[in-house]
Amino acid sequence: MEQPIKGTVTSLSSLFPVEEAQKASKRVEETLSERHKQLNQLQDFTADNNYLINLVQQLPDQLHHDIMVPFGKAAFFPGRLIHTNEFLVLLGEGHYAERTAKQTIEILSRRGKALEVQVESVKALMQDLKAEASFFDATASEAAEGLVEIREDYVEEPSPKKASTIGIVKPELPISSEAEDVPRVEDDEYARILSRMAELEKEEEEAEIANREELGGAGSDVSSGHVILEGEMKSSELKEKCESSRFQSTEKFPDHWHVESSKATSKGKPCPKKKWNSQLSLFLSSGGDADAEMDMREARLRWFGHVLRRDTNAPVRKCERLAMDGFRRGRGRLKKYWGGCAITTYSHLLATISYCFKFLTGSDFFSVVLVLNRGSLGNNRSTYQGNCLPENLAYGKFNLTENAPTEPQVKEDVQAPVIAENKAAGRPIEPRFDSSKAFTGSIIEHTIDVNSREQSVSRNSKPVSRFKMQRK
Amino acid sequence: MASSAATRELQRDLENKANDLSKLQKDISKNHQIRKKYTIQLGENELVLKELDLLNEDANVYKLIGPVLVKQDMAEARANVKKRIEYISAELKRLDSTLQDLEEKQNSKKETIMKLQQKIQSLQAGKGKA
Repeated sequence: MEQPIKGTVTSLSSLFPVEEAQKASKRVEETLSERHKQLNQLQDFTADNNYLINLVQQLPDQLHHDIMVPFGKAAFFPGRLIHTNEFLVLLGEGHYAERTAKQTIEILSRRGKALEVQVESVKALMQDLKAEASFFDATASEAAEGLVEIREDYVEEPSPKKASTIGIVKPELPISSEAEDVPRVEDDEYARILSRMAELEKEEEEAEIANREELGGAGSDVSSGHVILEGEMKSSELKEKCESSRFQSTEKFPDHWHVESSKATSKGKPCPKKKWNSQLSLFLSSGGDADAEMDMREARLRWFGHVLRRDTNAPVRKCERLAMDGFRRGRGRLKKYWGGCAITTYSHLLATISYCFKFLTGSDFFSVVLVLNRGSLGNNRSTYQGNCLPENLAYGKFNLTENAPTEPQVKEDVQAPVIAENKAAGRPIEPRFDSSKAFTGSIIEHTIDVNSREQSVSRNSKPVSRFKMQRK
Repeated sequence: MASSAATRELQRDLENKANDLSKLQKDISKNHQIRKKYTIQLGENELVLKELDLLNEDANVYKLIGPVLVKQDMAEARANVKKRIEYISAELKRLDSTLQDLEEKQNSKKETIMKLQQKIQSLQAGKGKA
């Protein structure tokens, strides 16, 4: 991951000049047509031979045949064939032999066999030529299109975390039918994205430290709940924007939203991604799976989230939209694409969350999710109170944005059992239910747990990506 | 002036060499055609020999000489065909060697022509600079 350029890029036209390839294909085409003629001639011979064999077989059936004898080029006269079992067979080179019908047929069939052998050899030759011609043709057209050859050594990874690398490798897949300078640009952009990611990760780390200190100082659940909500709001807005642009929905979001959310990440505020990560770990750990699989899932979801937070024109998103007609991965590569895997993981996650929610609050999870979605679409900066807790809100937001791709049509027609209140009222949001505290506590506990884990890793102050850290 | 005279001479030389080369190429293609004809004849003769071997000793064999069929002995016909095959294979060998010779000549001619062309180019380039 730290070396963005893994392979070499050479343009095909530099290896095989277009004119040369076309010339070669033309020449092969010519010889092919010549061979075709030869083949046709040979097949004619075989047909003639077969006809002759038939005739010779029939002639001795009768003692004589009435025929028209050719006389010169222009005339025929009636005649009669006698001695129908006596043939003068031309053996070749002016040698004739007197044979009976049966013997003649033997000679003719031997000749037919020789012809067949010749036909077969010519056919094999033609097949070779055809393969050659198609190769030259393909090369010529590819070179003309400006196809580039990208070579990348396949390195076997020992860990089961290949799932996380799928998304990373993807931008480097050969992109045919594009100008040859495009992949290099993409590489640059990709490197930039990586560095930006690392930057964000580092900021996040710092924010996390600050957050922890704050937690230690105040030691109250309220502040943490508030923080979670704030962060979550920002992230959900951003994610919603991503979703809406992805599905080309009719709702237009004001541009400053994007600016705000990016500001939120660049400020010292707790980053939305942070919460997202800690929650992720919480959910995943509640699954109780083996460590390796959990890590895989986590990495997959992280990457998915990362991609969704990107601009729609970023290379990672573009890659997603690329139509790979007839594209197949090489032998030994993974068959699944990260997108499909991520969706599966999400549905799994959703089931876990809704179960948790129902267990803790006794209300239906989906209605809350959908209502929240509606409200946030309609109101720019609205928060929710009533029977909805900040934590639930956070979960709801988080889930709603991630589930939007799987069920975007449901959200339109669900009645809202929750009252929305504008934030302009300036009322701070506080958790009201005691039952929520246990839940909140569990989140925080886990967040700290994650923090301590990442803290130990992030001591080398280099901005290392989280993917890397997880892998160590 | 001297250089232009030299180039003229070189060009004449080049023309001569090119003519020689084209003549050689013509010879080569002619030889190829002859060789093709001979190989076909060889195949036919081998077929005839095979058929003659399959015939009984008392079969009547005729040879077409001009417009007439002349009756031949079986043994005679066989000997004739064998001799012919020998002759054709000898001829093929000879043709192969001459073809090789010609191709070598052609290659050397091509090389000399290339050298001449380079010489002329360098002369012209020198002229352009001067």
